[in-house]
Amino acid sequence: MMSELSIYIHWPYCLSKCPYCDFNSHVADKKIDQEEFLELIKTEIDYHSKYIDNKKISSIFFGGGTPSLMDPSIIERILTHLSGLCNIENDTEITMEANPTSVELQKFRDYSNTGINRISIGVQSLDNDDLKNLGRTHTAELAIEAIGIAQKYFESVSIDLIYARPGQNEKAWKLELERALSLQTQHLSLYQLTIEPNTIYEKLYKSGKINLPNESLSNELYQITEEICHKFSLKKYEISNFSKRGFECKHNLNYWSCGEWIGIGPGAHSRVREKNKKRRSLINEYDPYNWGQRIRNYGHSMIENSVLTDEENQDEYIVMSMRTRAGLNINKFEKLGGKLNMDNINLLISNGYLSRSKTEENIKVTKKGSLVCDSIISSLAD
Amino acid sequence: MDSQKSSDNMHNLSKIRNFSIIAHIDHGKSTLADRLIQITGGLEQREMKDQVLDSMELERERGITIKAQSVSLKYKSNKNEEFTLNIIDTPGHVDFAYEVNRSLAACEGSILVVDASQGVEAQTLANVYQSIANNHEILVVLNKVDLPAADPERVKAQIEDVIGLDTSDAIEISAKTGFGINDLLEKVTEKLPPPSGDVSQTTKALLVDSWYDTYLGVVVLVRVYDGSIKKGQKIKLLSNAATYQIERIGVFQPKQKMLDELGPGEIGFFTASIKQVSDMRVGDTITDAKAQDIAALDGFKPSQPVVFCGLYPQDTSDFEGLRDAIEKLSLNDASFQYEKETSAALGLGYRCGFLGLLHLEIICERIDREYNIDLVTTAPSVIYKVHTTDSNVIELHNPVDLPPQERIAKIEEPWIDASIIVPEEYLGAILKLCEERRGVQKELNFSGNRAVITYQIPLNEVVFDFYDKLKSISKGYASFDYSIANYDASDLVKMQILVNEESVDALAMIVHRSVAENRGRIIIEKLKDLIPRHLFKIPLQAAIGGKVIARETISAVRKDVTAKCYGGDVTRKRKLLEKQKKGKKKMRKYGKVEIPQEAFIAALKADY
Ligand SMILES: Nc1nc2c(ncn2[C@@H]2O[C@H](COP(=O)(O)OP(=O)(O)O)[C@@H](O)[C@H]2O)c(=O)[nH]1
Ligand SMILES: C[S@@+](CC[C@H](N)C(=O)[O-])C[C@H]1O[C@@H](n2cnc3c(N)ncnc32)[C@H](O)[C@@H]1O
Ligand code: SF4
Ligand SMILES: [Mg+2]
Repeated sequence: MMSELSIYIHWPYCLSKCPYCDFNSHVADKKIDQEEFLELIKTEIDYHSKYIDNKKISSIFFGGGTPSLMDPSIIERILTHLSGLCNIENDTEITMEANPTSVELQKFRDYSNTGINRISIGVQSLDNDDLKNLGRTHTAELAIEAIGIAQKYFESVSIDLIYARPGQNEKAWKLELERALSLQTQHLSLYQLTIEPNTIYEKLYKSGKINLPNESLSNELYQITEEICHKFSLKKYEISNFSKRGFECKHNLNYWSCGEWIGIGPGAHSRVREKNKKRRSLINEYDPYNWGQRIRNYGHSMIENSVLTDEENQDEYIVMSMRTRAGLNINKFEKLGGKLNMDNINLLISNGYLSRSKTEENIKVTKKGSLVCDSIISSLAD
Repeated sequence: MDSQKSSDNMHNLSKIRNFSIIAHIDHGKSTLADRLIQITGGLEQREMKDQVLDSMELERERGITIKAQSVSLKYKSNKNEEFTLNIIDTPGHVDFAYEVNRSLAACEGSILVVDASQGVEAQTLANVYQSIANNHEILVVLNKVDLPAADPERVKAQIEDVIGLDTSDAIEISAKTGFGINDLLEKVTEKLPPPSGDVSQTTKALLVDSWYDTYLGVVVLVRVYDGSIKKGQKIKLLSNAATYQIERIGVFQPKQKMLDELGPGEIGFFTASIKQVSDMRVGDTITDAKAQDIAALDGFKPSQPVVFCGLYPQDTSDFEGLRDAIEKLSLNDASFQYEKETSAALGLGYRCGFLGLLHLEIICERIDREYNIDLVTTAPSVIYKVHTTDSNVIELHNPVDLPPQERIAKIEEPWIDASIIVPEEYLGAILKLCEERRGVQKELNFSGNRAVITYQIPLNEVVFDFYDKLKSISKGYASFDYSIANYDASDLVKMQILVNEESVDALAMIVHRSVAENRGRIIIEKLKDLIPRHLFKIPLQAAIGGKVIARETISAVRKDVTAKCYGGDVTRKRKLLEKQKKGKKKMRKYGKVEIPQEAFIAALKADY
C-alpha cells in the first residue's frame, strides 16, 4: 500500500508581530533574501527525500508567519521541486495562510496559478477597534474584500477568527460570527483567544491590563459558536474547526489522526516513517538564522531525531484524535499497542462526557465533554 | 588473623580510661574524636577521612551521629606511661537521648565539649545532667578557640552560671587545628578515674550496643566489669538465659583488632553466631554460662518509640520493596518498630514507631535513598492512653483505632519536659510558641543575654513542626531538648478530614479540642490548593464526630480545552499528557477523587 504524506513548509516572517501570537514568526530586520530561503528549503527537502520518495502527497501547507509574503515564484519553484520527488496529484490539497493586507490580495491570482487551491485568511475579527487591539494592520473591510477575491481563485477558502476576546459578550460575538458566516466561505477556524507564554498579551494579562471572559461566559461563547455554525450548515469537525461537507482541512486532519508529515523550515516538526520502520519525531532548529546556518553546515536543521515509543504514539493518537468529530478509533488504538481504561471510559460515558459512535468503533467527546477535553484525555488510558 | 594473647596492659585497670564525648550538636564532638584518633596514631594520615566515627553516609551528610560507636586508642603519656583510652561516641540529637545514656553508662568520665564561640546550649545541659546521673567525672573543654568569635572566658562564666560546673581546669582546644589536644590527652589520664573491677570474679559485662555487619554478622559491643570474656567461652544473657559461644573478640582502633580476651574495665566487641540484633537486648547483663546467682548490672531503660506514623509506598507495587527496606533497617535499629497496616486511602503499608521526628525523618530518607522507594507518610501521632467506659486502657498508636466517643471515659496524652535556651531577643516569640502549643511554663532564668526556659508541653504539639518552628523563629539560635515526663488527661478529640463526603483515614488526627477548628481549617485550605480540580465539585470538610468544623469546596473543571492544535503542537500536547499521567500514578484514588501524594505530606506540614 502506498502511504500518504503531508508536507508543511514554514515561512517565519511577518510585517509586524501580533501581541497575542506565539508562533515562530519574526519581523525581519533586513530585506529577506527569498532566493536564499528557497535554496535552504530545497536543501532541507532533499535531505528528507527518503521519507518523501514516491509517496502520495495528500496535502501541502504553507504556514507561518505570513507565507503570503513569499513571491509566488518561490512557491511555484518549491512545488516544482517537490513534484520531482513525489506524487502531487489533482486532489492534493495545497493550502497557504494569508494575511488580508492590500499587498497580498493582489497576489492571490498568481498564487492560484502556482497550484495553491486552498487559502486560509487570518481575518481574526470583523470589528475594527478589536483588530487594532489585536495589533492587526488591516481593517475588517479589507478582510472582506480579500475573501471576495479569494473566492474567485481558490476552490476552498477558510477564515480564522479569534473570539472570547477582552470585553466580548455573547451578543457581540453572535453578530460578528453571523456576519462572517454570511460571507459563505467553505471553512472557518474559530479560536478562543489563548494567553500564550512569553507574549505581550501574557504580560498585559498578568498585570491586569486585559481581562478575558470568565469561565461561564467563555463556555457560553463556545456553545453558541457551535449552534450558529450548525444553523449555517457548517459542521464542527474539530474543537475549533468548522466546514461545509467535504471541505474539512485534510492537512490538519492528518495531524489529528496521527499520520505522517514532514515539516520543512525553522521550528517545523515531522512525524515520519520509513518502510517497515518505526515512526519518528524530527524537530528542526527554531531560530530562522540558526536554521539557515545549520542547513548550510549539515544539509539539515534537525535538533531532534528520535523514534517514538509505542506509548508515545498512543499518547499522540489520544490527544489529537479526541479533538475530532470522528474521535478515537478503538481498533487503531489497539493496533498501536494501547489499552484503554474501560472503567474510566464507561464512567465518562454514563456521565455524558463521552459517547460511542453508532458502529461502536469510535469513542468521542460529547458536546459537554468537548469543553473539558483536556481533563478527559488523561483518563482514557493508564 | 591479627590476634594476640590479650590487650597490652594485661588487666592493668589503672592504665585504662573510659569516657564519652558529650556536646551540643555541631560543637565539635566528631571532629575532636577524629583528632584524638589521628594524634594517637589509630589511623594513618591517608586513612583519615572526616568524622571517622560517623560511618553511615547519612550521618556524614547531616553531620550528626546517630549510632554510638566506640574506639580504643593507645596513648603514651608525658610520663611515658602507656594508656588505653576507650571513647564511646554519643549521638548528638534529642531524639537519641536514650542512646546517649547507654553510652555514658559504659564509662567513668565525660569530656564536655562546648563551642567557645556559641556557649551553652540545651543539649549541653541535658547531656551534662545525664553524665552527672551516671556519676561521671567531667572534663570541660572549650572548642573552636581558633575562631575569631571565640570567647572562652565568657563561655566559662556561662558554664559556671548555667550548669554550675567548675571551669578552673577547663582546657581550651581547637579540634580543627589540633591546638590543645595533647594537653587534653594528659588531662584525661590525670583527671578521669580508671575503671574498677576484679579479673578473678565471674564474668559480668554490660551489653552496650549491637548491630549487624555484613562481614561479621551480629556484632555486640560490651563493657566488661568483672572477670573477662574469652574467645571460645560460653556466655549467657541474664534477661533470658540464652547462651552463646564467643567466636571472635576484639576492639576497634578504629580498625578491628582481634584479641583473645577482654578484661575488666575494657570495652570491645564480640561475635557469637547470633541470629538477630533483636536477640541482643541493649542494657542486658552478660555472664558466664555456668554462673549462678549473678545480680544484674544497672541496665538502662529500653528505648521506647514515642512517635508513630504510617509509611506507604507511593507506588503500590513497591510494597515488597518497602517491606524489605524496613526489615533491613530495623536489623540495626532496635528502637525502630513496625507493624503491617492497611489504609483505605493508601493501601498496604506499615505503622512505624520512632524515637522522635528526626529519627522518623532519617528512616524515611534512608528508605528513599538506599532503597529507592518514594514514600507517603501519614500524620505523626503519639501514644494516647484511652480509658474506656468498661475500665480498659488502650494504648492508641493510630488515630483511626480510637473507639467511638460513647465508649471513651477519658484520654490521656504524654507530656514532655522541654528545655530551651535562646538569646533574649527571641524570648517573646518563643514563649508565644510554647503557649500556643499548650505549654505550661516551669522555669525562666537568664544567663548573660540568654534565657534558659523549661516548659511542660504535650508531645503531640511538638511532633509536627515544633522544632522547625523554634529554629525559624530564633533564626537558628534557640536550642531544644526534651524528655518524656508523664501522662495527663486532656480534652482530646479525633478530627476527621472528609474529601467528597468520605473520611480519609490517612489524614485523621487526634487534637486538643481548643485547637481543632484552627487546624482543621488550615489543613482543608491546604488540600484545596493541592487536590486538582475534577469534573465535579469536591466538598472538603474537617469534622469532629458528626460535626463539621471547617469546610471548603473545590469547584469543578468547567472548561479546559485547548483552542488551537497544529502539527507543531503535537509534541507539546503529548508531553502534557505524559506529565498528567505521571502525576496520576502518584495519586491515590479516594472514592471518586484523586488525591496527589504530596497532599498527604503537605497537609500535615501545614503552618499552624
Ligand atoms: N573553626 C573550627 N571549627 C571546628 C572545630 N571543631 C569542629 N569544627 C567544625 O564545626 C562543625 C561541627 O563539628 P562536628 O565535629 O561535626 O560537631 P558534632 O556535631 O558535635 O559532632 C564542623 O563544620 C567542624 O569542621 C574547631 O576547633 N574550630
Ligand atoms: C499561524 S497563525 C497566523 C497566520 C497569519 N499570519 C495571520 O496572522 O493571519 C494561525 C492562526 O492562529 C490563531 N492564533 C494565533 N495566536 C492565537 C492565540 N493566542 N489565541 C488564539 N488563536 C490564535 C489566529 O487565528 C491565526 O490566524
Ligand atoms: S498572528 Fe500571524 S501575522 Fe500576527 S505575528 Fe502571528 S503569524 Fe504573524
Ligand atoms: Mg558529629
